[in-house]
Amino acid sequence: MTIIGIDSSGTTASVSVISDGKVLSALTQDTAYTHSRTLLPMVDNAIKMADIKKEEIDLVAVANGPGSFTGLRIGAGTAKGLAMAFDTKIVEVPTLDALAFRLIYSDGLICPIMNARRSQVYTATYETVFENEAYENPSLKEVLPMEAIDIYELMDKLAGLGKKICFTGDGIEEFRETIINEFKAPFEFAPPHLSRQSAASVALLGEKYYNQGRAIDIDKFKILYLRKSQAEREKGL
Amino acid sequence: MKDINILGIESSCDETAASVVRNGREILSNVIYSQIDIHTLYGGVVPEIASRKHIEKVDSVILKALKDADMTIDDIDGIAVTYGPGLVGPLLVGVSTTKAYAFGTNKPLLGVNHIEGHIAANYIEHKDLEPPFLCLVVSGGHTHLVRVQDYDSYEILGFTQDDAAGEAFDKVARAIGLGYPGGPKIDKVAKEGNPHAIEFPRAKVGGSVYDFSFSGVKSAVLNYLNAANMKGEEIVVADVAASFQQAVIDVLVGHTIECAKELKETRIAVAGGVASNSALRALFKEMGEKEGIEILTPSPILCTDNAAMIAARGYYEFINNRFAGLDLNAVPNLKIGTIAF
Repeated sequence: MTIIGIDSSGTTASVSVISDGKVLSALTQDTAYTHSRTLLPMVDNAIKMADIKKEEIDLVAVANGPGSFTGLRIGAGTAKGLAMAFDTKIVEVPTLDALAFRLIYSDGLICPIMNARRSQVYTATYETVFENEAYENPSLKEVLPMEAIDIYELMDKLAGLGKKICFTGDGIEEFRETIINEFKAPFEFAPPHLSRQSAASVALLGEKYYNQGRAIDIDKFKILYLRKSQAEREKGL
Repeated sequence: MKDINILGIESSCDETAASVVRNGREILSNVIYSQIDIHTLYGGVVPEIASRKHIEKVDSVILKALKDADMTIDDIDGIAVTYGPGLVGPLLVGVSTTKAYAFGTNKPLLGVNHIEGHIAANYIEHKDLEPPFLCLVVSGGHTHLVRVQDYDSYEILGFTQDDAAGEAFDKVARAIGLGYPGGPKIDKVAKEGNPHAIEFPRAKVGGSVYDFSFSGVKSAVLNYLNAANMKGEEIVVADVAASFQQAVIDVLVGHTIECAKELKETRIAVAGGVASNSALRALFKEMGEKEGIEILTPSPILCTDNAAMIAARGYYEFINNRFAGLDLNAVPNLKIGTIAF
């Protein structure tokens, strides 16, 4: 099975083609260029680099949030357009799942934090669990649910879990000093080559979710904004 | 000659739309999902909410347009999308989806200017219409008096210095408690009112004699309402609506007719959402008959935002071999007659 993975949820734009669990190509860019200009040329390049014909794509995996509202929609529109063209299903991969998946095998807990502005982060917390005592078939188990939450509130919750925390995601940049100064439990920061969105992670996780029967028709696709629009919030809706 | 079928996609404001048009003139399908009910709650279009609705609906609208045309994507020669002007978030949904769909299906991608799309609505309605002609494009976002020299060549003779005409309708409708969308609501209420009850100003502006200004008449209405409230005078909503509407259409029709006479144009096409206003259509008809100028208006469904006009415009991009690349971006302030890809 050949899968194209797409993540444009943050400042990073990333596209990857995998086939039967093998990463054939992976492109990631984190520059000031707008995703609407760069993402589709990256799709084209990732397919060429994978040395496949685009018609061979069987499934589209896309980071469906949380993240930048506009970035998520550029990814979603691109995924929908490709899925319509190739007549495939889509598999939704929450951005935070994919960020955590990059650090699977970590001891302790994995906590992606994405800068959600207004001193909040989009976050969830995971731990790696194995199918057996030989450490086979690792998967992520959610310890704290996906939400938009104040960074201090998150640190309080995490400190109460009594385990080492590995922070990852672009929120590290914004909240590094806050965490170093205020967090009351053992922690570490994921390094730059592992702490940003990666479409290879989206595609690989997408394959797992597909095998769990989680692929959907495109009209069922939903973005996880985790936040209402400002107009709705002001209306108290 | 072989028939050319263009699939058009539009998402520049609060309508998600897709359509298949043959040879730039014949509508095979025209699907419009309107979000008006949602934005009515907020008294106007909320860009973030519009964007969220667009991305939910865009794929089903496209697939329905193909189905209604009794076609598959294999029958389509090119895919056209509005890339500006408009609201950036909504535009990006149409642009991202269409680009990926065109890439995946190996179809030529056609970038369409929304205002040029409004003009092209006249090609659908009036099968024999060919440039040159004078066109008034008037909508919630645009007020342009344009001489369409050729399918690809436009001379802008006048435009609004401030608010678009439709924007003034929305703001006044809100002030007199009619709500959103202002155009159709004022049109309806005005039928019960006296258009000469209150004399609101017909603004003259600097620049071209054919330029427009609608912020003055809007302010005059607001001042009138304030003064009436202060003095405890009764406000007759229908009279205010009718008088405001008359002030706006007098300027729109007056400028356009004067311009046509000056340039010795024998026909005027009207386009855009405000072109569906019944008083504007009636005044144009009356003035046109008086001056011996033919007035062309698209049916109301082709005046408000739709994708058939985008497909019609896309046809002319297609036959000119002007194809957009995979890096096509949304251009919120795209000017008429310019190409930004």
